[in-house]
Amino acid sequence: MRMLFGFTLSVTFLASFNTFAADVDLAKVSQQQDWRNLLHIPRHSNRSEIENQAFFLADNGRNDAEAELRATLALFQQEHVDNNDHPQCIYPARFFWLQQQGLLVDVERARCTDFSEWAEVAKLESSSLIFADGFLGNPASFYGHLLLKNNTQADEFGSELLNNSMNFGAAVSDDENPIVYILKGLFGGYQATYSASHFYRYNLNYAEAELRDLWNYELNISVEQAYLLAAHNWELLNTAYTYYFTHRNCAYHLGRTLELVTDQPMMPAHEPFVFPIAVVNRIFNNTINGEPAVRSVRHVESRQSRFRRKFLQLSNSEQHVARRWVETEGDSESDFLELNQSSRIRVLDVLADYYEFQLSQQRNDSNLKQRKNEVLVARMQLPAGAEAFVPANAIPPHQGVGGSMLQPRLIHNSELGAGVDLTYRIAYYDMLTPNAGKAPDSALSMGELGVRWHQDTGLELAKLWAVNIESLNINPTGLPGDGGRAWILRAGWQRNYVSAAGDDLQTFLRGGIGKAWQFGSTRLYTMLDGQLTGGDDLGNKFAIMPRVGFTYEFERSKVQCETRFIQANRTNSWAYTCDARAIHGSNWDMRIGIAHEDYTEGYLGVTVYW
Amino acid sequence: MKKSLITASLLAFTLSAAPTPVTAQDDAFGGLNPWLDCGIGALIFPDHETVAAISNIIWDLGTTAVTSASASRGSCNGNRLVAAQFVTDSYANLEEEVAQGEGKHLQAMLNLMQCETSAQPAAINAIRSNFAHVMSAEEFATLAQEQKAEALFYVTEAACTLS
Repeated sequence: MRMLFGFTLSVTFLASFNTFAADVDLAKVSQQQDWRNLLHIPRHSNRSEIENQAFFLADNGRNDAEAELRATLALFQQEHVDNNDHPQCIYPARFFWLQQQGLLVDVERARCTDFSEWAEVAKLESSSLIFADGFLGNPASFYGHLLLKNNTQADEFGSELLNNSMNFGAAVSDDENPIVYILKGLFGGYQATYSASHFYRYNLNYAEAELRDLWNYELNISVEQAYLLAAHNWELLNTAYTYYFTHRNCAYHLGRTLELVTDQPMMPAHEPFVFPIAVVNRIFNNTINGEPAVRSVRHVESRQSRFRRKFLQLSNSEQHVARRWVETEGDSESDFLELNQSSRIRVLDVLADYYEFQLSQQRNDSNLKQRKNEVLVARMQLPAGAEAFVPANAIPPHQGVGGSMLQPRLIHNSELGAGVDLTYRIAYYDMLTPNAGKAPDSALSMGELGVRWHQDTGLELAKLWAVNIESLNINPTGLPGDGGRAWILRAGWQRNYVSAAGDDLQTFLRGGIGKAWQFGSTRLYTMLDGQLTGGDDLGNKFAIMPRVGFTYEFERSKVQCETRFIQANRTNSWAYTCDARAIHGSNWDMRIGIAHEDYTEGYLGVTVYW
Repeated sequence: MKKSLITASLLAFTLSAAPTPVTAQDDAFGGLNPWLDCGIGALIFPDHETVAAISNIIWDLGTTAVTSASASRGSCNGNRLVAAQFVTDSYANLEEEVAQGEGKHLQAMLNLMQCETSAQPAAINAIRSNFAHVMSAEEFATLAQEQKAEALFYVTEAACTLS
């Protein structure tokens, strides 16, 4: 343990230190942004965001950067019996930075073996920001997540698996009540900390178990800056913060840490919502030492992505044999033996991915374990060496749009006439949002607020969706368990401007399940939805709504059309909608659409993302 | 108890399949069995059931990660124990890469187990051949991940020692 925490400085000791400071303006040094960043003091504030007093060496170190600097300088010169407990070893980034400033140049360096081994200092080369994207098959993983990873020289294949990586998160007990979890997450009920682990464990957790693609953004930093970041990460392992889901989360705090090396600030002080994708966009558009901040972007596929990519590259006959193998549980030897050796290897490699993908969702399924074992034993009878598959070619998340959006629209309604509305969405995307960095064929929004103006109605709240989640959950391979039911969950308040049953603001809860299929760029879907409402002018309070529709993508455009039959408890009707993203840029798109039920309305709008 | 007997049999089979006078498991960890004595176990992953997950729909900006992927810098952190933990955690990847005869997890395992670079090609062949025998045992697929990892660890150790 770090025994230093809790140390306080005596007045006598500080007084003796004053002689050292005589020819250096410590007040000026303490106001340098780098020093403030090391203490996590935001711009326009004099108070550190690190909340545990044990991190600070001066009693008032959290609120006084100069006092903390003086205390740090004093302690760094102390002799200490156990080197790993020496202040230099507990605050290696502070020591390194102060030496860079010309301070402590004559101070003997402590041997910090624990830190050196942890950071692999001898081989340390750079750092990466890792983005784990969202995945609608696992609703716990919708919004993405960030990690920081130390990178060592790539002279050993596989070595990156053993690089240490930093994670930030709230400390939540395994048996936390879901409601308490939500409330405490929103209102600061959890303490958050950093943790570190070998990268392979995060890869297992996110890419193999939660089936999230990872994106490795290697920072364009010098070896010295890589050391500074790694050293600061080491310091942060013993810091604590109040966790707020919306704005003091992993994205915010890792973004703040990156400010140690970026030329421009990453994190504004008063953003109400901070999303991982925003930090990815900011680092990509930032500079380090006057150069682009990101040296390279590398895709680490999830188990599911890897399996799908490889399966879809099999020839028709290979796919047939793979399907037969799954259908017959490996008892289709004659089909398999008809393949040449290369095809057998390809099929077995894909089947191994398939069964492990299935096992990631059903860890204790003994039948799946047996099937995978059979595949691997069969593979071992064939020559070693992986068969070539074409690498993934997914769009990296920084090419996607931001997490929040504002959408003004011009409207014409056959009953109400011309009007305008404005929709604001805290996060995250809808079915027409450009695909990069989001789960495909899906929608996820939280806190979607719309206001509308017509001459007859004036300005009024048009909708407030607390949550809207849709997933077509398409099965592109046709194998059992890959994809499955399409589903929707939507709840909140909204008006229906195309119904004769009145446009009062209705509380509603809508859920549905169905099935979707993919044919090239077209997705067909059929759903059965149910909806509860507060009651319209005709007395309808619940409805069953079977619907069919399609989406179609071409170049930078996408269209979604559907028709649904609304069988409510008093009345029934048909409705049609068609919405299109006509074109999109890096942070905007243009929408056009039409809807018809009892009335008809069309709109033209522009969406701005950030 | 049954699983323990199976493991013991498999380990015996592991050693017989590997044409070596292996006594590694007796003293590799100074008399400790890392899987029993150092608490090495496979990672526990989050429940993916929809009902449980719904409650987490909008709250995954870090809250699910810390409890499942943190590591201590405390006890049982020698190189060989790190290797044993790596083999256990990464077993699913490793068995696939052993079957293929290549891959970054396989390479990382060999490096962690300090298998000489010059000896690695031969070691991989030996691991592949010997572990195929181990995996062919009737009960192998039903073993816990830790038990499979233990078998692979010793097959690898034997292969690296010989090669």
